[in-house]
Amino acid sequence: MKKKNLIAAGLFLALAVFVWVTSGSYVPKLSARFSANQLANDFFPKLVSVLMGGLAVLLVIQTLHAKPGSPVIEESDEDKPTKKEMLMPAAGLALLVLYLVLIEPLGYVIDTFLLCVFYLALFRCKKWYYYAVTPLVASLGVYMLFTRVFLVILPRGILPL
Amino acid sequence: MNLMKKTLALLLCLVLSTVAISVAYADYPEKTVQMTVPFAAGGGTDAVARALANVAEKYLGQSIVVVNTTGGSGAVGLTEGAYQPADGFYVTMITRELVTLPLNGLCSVTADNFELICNVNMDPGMVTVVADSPLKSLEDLLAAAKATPGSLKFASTATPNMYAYTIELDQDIIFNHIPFNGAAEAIPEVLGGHADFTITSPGEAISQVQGGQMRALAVMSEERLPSLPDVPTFKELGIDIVTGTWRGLAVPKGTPADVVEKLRDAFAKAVEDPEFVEFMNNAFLNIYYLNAEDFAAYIANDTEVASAIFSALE
Amino acid sequence: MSNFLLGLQNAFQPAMILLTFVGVAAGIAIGSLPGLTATMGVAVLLPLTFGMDATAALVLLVGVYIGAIYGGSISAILLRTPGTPAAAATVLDGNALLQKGQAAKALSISVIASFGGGIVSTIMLVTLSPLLASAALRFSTPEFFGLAVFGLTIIASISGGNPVKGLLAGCLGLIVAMVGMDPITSTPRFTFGIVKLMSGLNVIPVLIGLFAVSEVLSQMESIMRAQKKAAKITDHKIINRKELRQILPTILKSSLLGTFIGCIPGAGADIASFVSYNEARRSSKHPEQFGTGCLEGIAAPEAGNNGVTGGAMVPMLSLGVPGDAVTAILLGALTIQGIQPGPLIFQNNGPVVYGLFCTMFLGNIAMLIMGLSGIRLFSKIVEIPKQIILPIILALSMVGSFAINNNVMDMWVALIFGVIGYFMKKANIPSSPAVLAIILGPMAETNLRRSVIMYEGSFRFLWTRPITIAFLLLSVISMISVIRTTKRARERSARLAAEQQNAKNERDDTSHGQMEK
Repeated sequence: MKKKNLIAAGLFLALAVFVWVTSGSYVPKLSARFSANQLANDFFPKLVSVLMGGLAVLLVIQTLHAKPGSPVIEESDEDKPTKKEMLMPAAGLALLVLYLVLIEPLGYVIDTFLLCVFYLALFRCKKWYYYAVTPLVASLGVYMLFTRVFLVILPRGILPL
Repeated sequence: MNLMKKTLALLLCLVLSTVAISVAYADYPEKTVQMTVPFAAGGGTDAVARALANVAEKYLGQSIVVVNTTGGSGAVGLTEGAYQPADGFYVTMITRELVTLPLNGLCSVTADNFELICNVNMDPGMVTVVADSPLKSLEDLLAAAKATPGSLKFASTATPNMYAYTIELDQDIIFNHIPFNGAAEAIPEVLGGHADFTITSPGEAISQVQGGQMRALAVMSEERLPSLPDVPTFKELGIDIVTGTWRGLAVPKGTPADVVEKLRDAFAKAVEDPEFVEFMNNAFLNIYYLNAEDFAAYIANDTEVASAIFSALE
Repeated sequence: MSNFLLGLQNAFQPAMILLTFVGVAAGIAIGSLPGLTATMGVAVLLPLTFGMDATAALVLLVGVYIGAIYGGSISAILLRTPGTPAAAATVLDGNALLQKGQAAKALSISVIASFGGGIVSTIMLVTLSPLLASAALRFSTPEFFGLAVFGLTIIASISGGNPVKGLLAGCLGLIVAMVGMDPITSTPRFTFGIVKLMSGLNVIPVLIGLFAVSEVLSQMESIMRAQKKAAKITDHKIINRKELRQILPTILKSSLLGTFIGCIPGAGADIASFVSYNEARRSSKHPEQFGTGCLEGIAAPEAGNNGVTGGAMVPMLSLGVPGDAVTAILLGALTIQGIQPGPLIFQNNGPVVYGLFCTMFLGNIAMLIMGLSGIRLFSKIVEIPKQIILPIILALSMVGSFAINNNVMDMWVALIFGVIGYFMKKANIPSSPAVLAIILGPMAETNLRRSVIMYEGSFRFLWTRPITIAFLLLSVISMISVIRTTKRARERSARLAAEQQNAKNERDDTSHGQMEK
């Protein structure tokens, strides 16, 4: 956990610097009329970036000074995933990215159908009826629910209309 | 045998799904028309749009679904509306923000990106104070503002606030603009005594005025409002300000002419439909129909007026 | 009196009673789907009410409102994803209790607390409306700022043991909330020229990403393991009488808090749930139990968020101004029906108002009945095999994110925050503070800046207005209380670790001794 804490603190510190630098880059047009009695629009971002930077430094200090067993660097006693098991969420994420790229051209129903089928294959699912039920529920079922019952519009894609 | 079972199963799945999908799409006769509203559900623009859509369906022969695309004080919805497919199935409710936001660099589309259908509603601005306020008339208010430049607390319902700027420029005074999001936030400030006055459309404040909690000092219309006959107009009081917010319909530029004609026709009829008229009267919203030509002229005029105001302010 | 009877009669017709149940059921369904909020549910059903008469329209919409605010807790408890932002505080103890195998107990607490919140707020609405409304009018921008600051200090108490990490997550939330148009001057911040970012990052896709998507990604790690894992529901017992009596004071206090927060125009169920949670923890005799499956930790936020349902009606009926986003839509619904909410509504439309009151009572009862009887059914969700439910949750998450604004961009937001949430989990950084900050950050900044404008550049409002002072003091007390609790917990665990170390040393010594012999 020590390493993870330090990486996290580093990322937060980088974000704080980024926010500080990019805030206040846009000056409103009618500002002359109002600026006298106002807080500028970079007040809050700068305040938050200072706070976040300070907290990140605090986390680093806490982590380096923590004695073993302290909650700061405590890990939960669940088994940690192996390198191989970590591939699963990575693959799942890749599928999800592909899904989003294809959602407009393919439309919700087809895209979700394919997503489910591929996920089930990824999970090495053996039972064939899963392959029938899940994609249908997730794609058609949800589509029906949202467009007919809730009257919300979903991407139509290439399906004939 | 196992492989054959699996293939058979997969085939069955595919067949079932194809059947199901075709059934799903079979009973979807025509495409629905989508009306984009650049403001949140429950607000004034949304209410007008929904009432109009509800009535226009029978004249158009297709169902109309209202979609709220909010953000950027209307900029997001207006921008999206301008770039939707120009096939006649995408209508946008356009409002005065289409003129005011681009002039401030807050929106990248203008009326030129649209093909106009018609204007539906125009609500004049009405100045209101809390019932027991020491400001008993418009003159009191203007005098107070003159005496304390930049101090009289104005609960502004939108930024930029055209109503206030028009008065300020005309009278050479400056209010203290406290920015809020709509009448729903501004009115409680006035009721609670935290702000001195606000300017909203009549329908937004009428229940408080009729209920005796607020007093209307003046209204920016040509003539006195039938619903509030005791409220003088700015004109009567010697100040030539007649302005308000407007709402109309448009489609993306490039929509085929015959489709546009059909839409213009249908909505013109919808605006006169007794159901719609009743709704607008009940909500104290003013029907102000302008056909496409007049609407274009109105917008051009408004753009001039607004630019003049903004350049005077800088 | 005749108005009252007429209203009563209208609301209790068989058709209306059926409509109430339908509305509440629809609300529960909508609320429990991550991505669909109470506001969306009511907005979506609004067009359906055009053809109905006023009482029926209110029956349906109010039923959905009540059901949806409760429904969010179902997915919060079972799937660790709040169905609506108002249930974000319920995730903490709700899901923890589920992990202990006591799903039925958690679900029953949720519905009973929600019922309590609804009934208490309705009673307050019916009896004390004018009083509450005039009290709520004392709130202006400085008071909202104070409330927001107080709300933000709650972050420390939901950080699960390490306030620093929680506050960092909170800062992340604050920054996310600042993307988009600045609320005061409408100028773009952190948009880098991308048009879609002009309207900012909507809290729902961020919420869905941080909770649902990241949870799904985490679960994928262990999906190949333990395929034959038995269902975790060991205990089908719902809450018993003794426990009920134990949490009753919490329910009552949270309901009152929720009612009052609802009365304040602009403050809604999400704020109420966190404030109630925080107050329950602060005044509890065992604050360190919060977050581990403590009963009050579920009762407080659920009573608080349903308390808003009645409270938000107070300004709507007395002042003609909405108390939260949903009542803004109800106001629109009433306007379309030709009814003007405001001080005159009792005179002009008495039967409708009394019908509304009756509907609220009936709706809460319907929610209680359906919630309790549905516990068995809801619990079964957890027993669905992961391979089926993970893709379905993903599909729902994506749809939910899209449906907010009909924008594919929001789906990407959910995905990106899913990844961020996944890594936050790895570093033990909690997500709830980020959500709380996204909701309260804009409120704090906007009202601070408005107050400065109102006071023409001065900060006097921080020490000249009693309500504001009260909130700021409460914030300080809240932070001190959390720091003290955390310190105590640290000392305790350090002591435990030391004792364990001693015991181990002794064992080693004795075993050495034995070996030497």
